Amino acid sequence: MSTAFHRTMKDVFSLKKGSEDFENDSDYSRWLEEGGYSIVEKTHPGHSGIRKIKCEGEEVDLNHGSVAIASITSCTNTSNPSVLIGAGLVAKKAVERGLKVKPFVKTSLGPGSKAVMDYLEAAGLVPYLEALGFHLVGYGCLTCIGNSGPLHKSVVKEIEERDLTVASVLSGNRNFEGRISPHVKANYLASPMLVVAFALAGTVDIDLTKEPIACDPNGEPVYLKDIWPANGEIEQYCGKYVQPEMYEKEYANVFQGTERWQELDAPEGLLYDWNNESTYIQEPPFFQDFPLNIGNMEDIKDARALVVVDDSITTDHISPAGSIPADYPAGRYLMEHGVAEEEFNSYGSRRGNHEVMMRGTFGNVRLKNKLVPGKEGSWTVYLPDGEEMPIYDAAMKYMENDIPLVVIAGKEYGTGSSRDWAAKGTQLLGVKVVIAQSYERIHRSNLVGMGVIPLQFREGESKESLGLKGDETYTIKGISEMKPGGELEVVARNPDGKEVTFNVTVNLNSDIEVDYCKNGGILHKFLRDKVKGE
Amino acid sequence: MDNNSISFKARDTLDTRGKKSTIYRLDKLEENGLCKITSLPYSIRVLLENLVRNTDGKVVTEEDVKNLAGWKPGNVPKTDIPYIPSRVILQDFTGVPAVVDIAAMRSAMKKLGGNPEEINPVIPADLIIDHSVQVDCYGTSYARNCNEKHEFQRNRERYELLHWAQNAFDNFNVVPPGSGIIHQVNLEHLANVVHLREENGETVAYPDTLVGTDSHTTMINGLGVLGWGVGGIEAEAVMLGQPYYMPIPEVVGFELRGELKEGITATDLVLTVTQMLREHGVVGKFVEFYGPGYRKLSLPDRAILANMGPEYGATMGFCPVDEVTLDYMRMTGRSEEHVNMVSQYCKEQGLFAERDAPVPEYTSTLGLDMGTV
Repeated sequence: MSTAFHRTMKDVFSLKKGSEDFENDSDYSRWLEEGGYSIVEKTHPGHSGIRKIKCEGEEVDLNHGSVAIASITSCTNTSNPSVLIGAGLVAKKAVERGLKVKPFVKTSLGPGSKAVMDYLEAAGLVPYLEALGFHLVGYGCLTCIGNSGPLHKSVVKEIEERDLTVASVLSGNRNFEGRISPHVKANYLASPMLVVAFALAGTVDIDLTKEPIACDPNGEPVYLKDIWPANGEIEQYCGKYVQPEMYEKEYANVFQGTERWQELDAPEGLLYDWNNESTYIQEPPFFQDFPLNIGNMEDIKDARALVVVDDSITTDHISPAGSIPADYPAGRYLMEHGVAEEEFNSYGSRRGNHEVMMRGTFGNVRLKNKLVPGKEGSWTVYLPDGEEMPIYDAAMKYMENDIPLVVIAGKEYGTGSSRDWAAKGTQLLGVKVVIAQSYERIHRSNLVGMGVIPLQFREGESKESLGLKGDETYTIKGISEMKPGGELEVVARNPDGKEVTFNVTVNLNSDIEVDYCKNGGILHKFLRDKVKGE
Repeated sequence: MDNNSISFKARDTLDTRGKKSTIYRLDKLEENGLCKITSLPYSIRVLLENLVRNTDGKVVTEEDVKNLAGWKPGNVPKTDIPYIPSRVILQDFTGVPAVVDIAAMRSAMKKLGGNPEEINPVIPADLIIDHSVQVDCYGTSYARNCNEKHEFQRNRERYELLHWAQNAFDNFNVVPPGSGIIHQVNLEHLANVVHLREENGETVAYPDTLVGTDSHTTMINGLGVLGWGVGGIEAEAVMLGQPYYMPIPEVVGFELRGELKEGITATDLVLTVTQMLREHGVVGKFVEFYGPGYRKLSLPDRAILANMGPEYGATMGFCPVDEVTLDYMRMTGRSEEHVNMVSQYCKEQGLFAERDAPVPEYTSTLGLDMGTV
């Protein structure tokens, strides 16, 4: 039995360590933050050292390593009856010993399926979970994707005033700093059973294999092994209480939804009745001014660089998903449309409104655009006159003056979460081509899907090796004849009139992709074919 | 469409307890000398069926079928194939922009003088609303109600759009908020493993395959269903009937032997497997599990192995259909009739991982005695 929890304890920390490795890995990071929250710069949790629980006397106060959030959440674990029944049994045994959850812990149970509550209910385990604060909070991604909601005000105040590194313990699958809650720096992944145990302990600064979790009302220490169910017990419960009828019942009317859903005042009809007033949903301009017949693509003449960036620019740099700063173009737009700052919500939730998303493109507050050296955020220079301004404002000014745009980048351009707005926003800002040393696979494909041509420096060449600063004008020749994997000639002319000529590779995989670019995107091609009856 | 002549005479009839349906038989490819089915990884067999069934000489050609059928461990053909998933799943963060795009296409179609009704998902899609609910209230029995109330207040405009889409589009279903998490709803309910679909006036049986706009779409590989996460624009294109062009993947076989020791959880196993696969390097590849240990692994455990696909970097972590799959389908309330059909179809197509079946040939293999975890 001791190996059981020794092993599981190790999980918590080896998972943490494991995820640090993942974080630095571009293949893994592709899928970061799809829930819509930004990664916070890495800081290391400063634990206070081992602190013993006082067996008698007052409750533990909030400190470094305190558990601020304990959540049974995520698709990874909540479809597994044995660990959920297991969590219920841990709760049962803890309650029977008179244990309580520390008052500062935000506890939650957010299963991925309604059947979960049915079998927990049938097994009589719900009252025990609720006695420890693990009430049902809803069915969905919840805490796992950062929708953990606010912490108690007094807890936030304490964390901020004392600069505490507090922890979340959750049964999720990712634990990047800042993902779960802006106030919680350290995030630990654990099985639902250990989530309950850590809520009881109130701290991650504890070795549950050796130290007592807490003391019972008689002052007797209670160890993890005292409340840990045996595998046989869990299996017995699963066999008895997890029944096919529960799934049948819950899924019989799965498309109907709750009363709230049914009572929504949704428009009807073949065409969507766009509401000009909405700040969430707007008709996107992709198919406005939509000529049915398109000619050959033309060369790009005297384009300007909107953004010049180094390696590993993520899709979150290009299209952030998290909070909208009030003093940025997207924030200004929302304010102008009567949205108070508290109601901004995230970029992620406003992906149905291109007005917000365009303004948020290259909107990451930590973007390092080389055109504005030493400055971070969504800034660039309107090159013809050297005026510094937000990237969105510059793009609009270029558009007014019919100046096409390019983006110049280093390696692994567009790494991170697969985010289609990174490509849509790029297109809507008037960027015709990106020239990078290499691309992340899905972002490259999304650029093509939006008709932005991904070009690639030749092997061994880069903006540095070619001496490009970004203040040049760019002329790209041969686009009408471009072939997948072929080359195009680029002439970069610097402000002194000096020219650098170099070739770039057309990073398209097939003739179909050339056709997508020609049409301005995959949806554009589809629509054209449909209208023409092809 | 008579594609019998161009798809290697693979078209045949499947008789499941008196019900007849059309089946595209993989063994016909073997009869045509294209490949040895039992040597191919199970995941490649599923892809192969996809190509054979969709061969029309235009989008999917005999050449594509031959290319994939020529899959060999040391010699994976370096060409793209047009994969046509049988369905698409979306969550609401990625789903809202997709619906906005399709709605905009309808509006544009009307303005351009075409028929807006022609703009519809061609490939069935399910959008599961799970990303918007927050924990505003907790620790009380009204927590769920309170959180849903806030959720609807914050997301009213987005939800009205999705509610509209639920009625306005064909081949498009919305799982409303408060129902569950996309991958769980998929695993427990939406996935058929094998479809019986009415198409062009006949019933056709074929493997369930999908793409999804969420990284952990791979969780469904735990149920023997082919699928992975793609970008929003790619998913829209698939919904509108465009094939998903993909390179023919290498397949890494992962043999599980022995049994987990008492007290060792699936989480431990996944950690070890993830570490091994990351060291091995499986980016852009399929991983396929097999072996005596695999056969004993419960379905929820397999689903965790598959769920973590993005964490070890593979396109998929495929768990072929066997008795455990069928038992799970029964446990989650799928009808006996359907489960029997799945069983029979998979067995006839060589998609069922029988105990005594030869191990497919993999690009490379790894092995783990679960007792050492």
